[in-house]
Amino acid sequence: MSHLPEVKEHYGILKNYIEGKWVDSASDKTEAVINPATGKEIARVPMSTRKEVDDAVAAAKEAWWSWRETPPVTRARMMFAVKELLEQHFEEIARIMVQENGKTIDEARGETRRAIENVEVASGITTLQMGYSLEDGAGSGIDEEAIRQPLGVFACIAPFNFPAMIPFWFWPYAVACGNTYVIKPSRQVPCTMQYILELIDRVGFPPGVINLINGSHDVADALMEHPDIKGISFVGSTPVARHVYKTCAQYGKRVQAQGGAKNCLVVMSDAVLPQAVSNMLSSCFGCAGQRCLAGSNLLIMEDIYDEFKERFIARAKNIKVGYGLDESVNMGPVISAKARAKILDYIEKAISEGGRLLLDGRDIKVEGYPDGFFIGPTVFENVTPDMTIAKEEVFGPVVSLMKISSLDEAIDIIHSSPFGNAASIYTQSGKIAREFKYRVQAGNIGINLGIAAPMAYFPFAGYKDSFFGDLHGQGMDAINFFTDRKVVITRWI
Amino acid sequence: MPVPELTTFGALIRHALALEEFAVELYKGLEQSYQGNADLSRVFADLAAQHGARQKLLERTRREKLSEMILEPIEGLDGRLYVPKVHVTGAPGAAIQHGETAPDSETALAGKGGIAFARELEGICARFYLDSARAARMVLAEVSKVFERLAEDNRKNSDMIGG
Repeated sequence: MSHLPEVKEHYGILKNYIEGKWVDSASDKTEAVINPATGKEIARVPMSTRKEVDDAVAAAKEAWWSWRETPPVTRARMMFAVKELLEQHFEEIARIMVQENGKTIDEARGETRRAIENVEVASGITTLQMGYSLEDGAGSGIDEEAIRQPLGVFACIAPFNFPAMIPFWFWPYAVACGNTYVIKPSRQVPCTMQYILELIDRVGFPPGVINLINGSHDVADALMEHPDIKGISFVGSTPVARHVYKTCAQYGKRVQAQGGAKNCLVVMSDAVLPQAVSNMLSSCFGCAGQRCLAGSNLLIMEDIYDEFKERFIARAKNIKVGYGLDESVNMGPVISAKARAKILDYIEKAISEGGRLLLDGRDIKVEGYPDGFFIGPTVFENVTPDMTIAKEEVFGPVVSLMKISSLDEAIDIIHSSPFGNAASIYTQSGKIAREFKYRVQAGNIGINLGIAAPMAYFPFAGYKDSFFGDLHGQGMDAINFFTDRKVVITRWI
Repeated sequence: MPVPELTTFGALIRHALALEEFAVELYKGLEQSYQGNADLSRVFADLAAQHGARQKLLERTRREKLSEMILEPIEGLDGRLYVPKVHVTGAPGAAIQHGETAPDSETALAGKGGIAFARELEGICARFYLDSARAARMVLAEVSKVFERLAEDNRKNSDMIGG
């Protein structure tokens, strides 16, 4: 099947968006943005300087008070305008995402929808930001109220795997609450947010309310250390999330830092296997396994293990790998040559530690894309919980099958991991499902669903080393993160 | 119209859009061809409009009904079953021609009139939407409902065309 057209072949040297203007970076350092399916450069991203970070933050700080005084209903209307533009340019956003990230067009469309949903939720700010009050709350004739106030400038440091969605876990809520914002996209996938900011530019936010700055960890460090930034939202690996958490704490900032994952999917004896297998494929191989909710360790009751294995391998073999702009493709490449090499190392290590390869995606050839960073679905068995492949986040289309003899054993394996991002169970038993939901120490639980991705009106949770902080992205958690409560006690004499 | 690989949600919608576009062209052509029969000409004009509106519904479905949580691979749909065996050139009143892409294009529809072509197309659409609804039910329940409704409309259209 021929593929959908790319929005542009090359996006040029990207710019920063500061104080409502597109500006070239003064830095002479740029990096190539590579299409992971073709291996070709599609843009160059500048490694912006600290001075440019300062400029962006200064613009946001300058814009804050006036924006904070803008009535919530007006801020909400601007969110409606953002939604409208995103809807109009839905397909372009999705296609740019495929081009720079490698995910399939369906995945990109789904991600675009998720981004829009966050704008929709933030559009309800007139309700979400309401405080509460109690007459005579502090004594007879003394009323007490709590109001939610914005704090100032916030920033997010975004990862490569969801170029559109993840910044939208944060910025719409922050801005709708009356804060101003600086977005730092991943340098591997900066084109999507560049395009989205070009749309947002048309909405007419006051200059400085939203800013975008490209760059690498130098920019991230500058944001974390900046005295005028009140809080940072981060999504990435656990070591970096821990660093972000510590650094922001050191600089007295609010922080929400989402880390890595090693998610287990548990298959009980009474699971409806055809549906379970189909669903698990999307969990394990969707986005080429590059998502913090991806299923990685499949824990299968021993009495159904053989049947499960046969069905899973048969379906996994049929997954079509290719360029995501071909609409018949089920799985795209991984993000980079470096990521591919790292995943191949994990596969080698799993073999050396005794894992048995049931499906080997290492040598996959995708016709027409010899330079793409492709790895086919890869499945191991004979994996034990102490093996590297079972413990570490691979972030690729590699899964391990493990036999279990009871739910208790499954939960023990889940709890042996330092991560606590997500876990799922496939069963027809409400009792077992409830026990799983009740006991498992993970932030996002799926019952007969392998990707328990919270909708915009729920927090994107995470336990243990998968999240550092207390308030999550999305929903009311986001409102609480981006506001402070002020209590007013009133007595009229 | 090429034979589609119906392995993803996007591929299903893409083919649905192609069928609807095909139907719009077919009915515009038939509307012109049947100018001498006002009732039939109006029926074909209405059908062209209806299939045009369905394109918009499908585009909206693609944007709004896809859940990235449950993007499971779709299996079991043979694209060859859902390709019309004729094609129509874009010009109003243009002749209906034998298609080149479907494997049995030379057989089924040769010699049939416009009404038979229309009924055949409605039948292909109904089959495609029903089979797709079945294949997508567990994955995309809302999309499945949209497809079932479109199939129902195809059946009604077929009855209306008569012949």
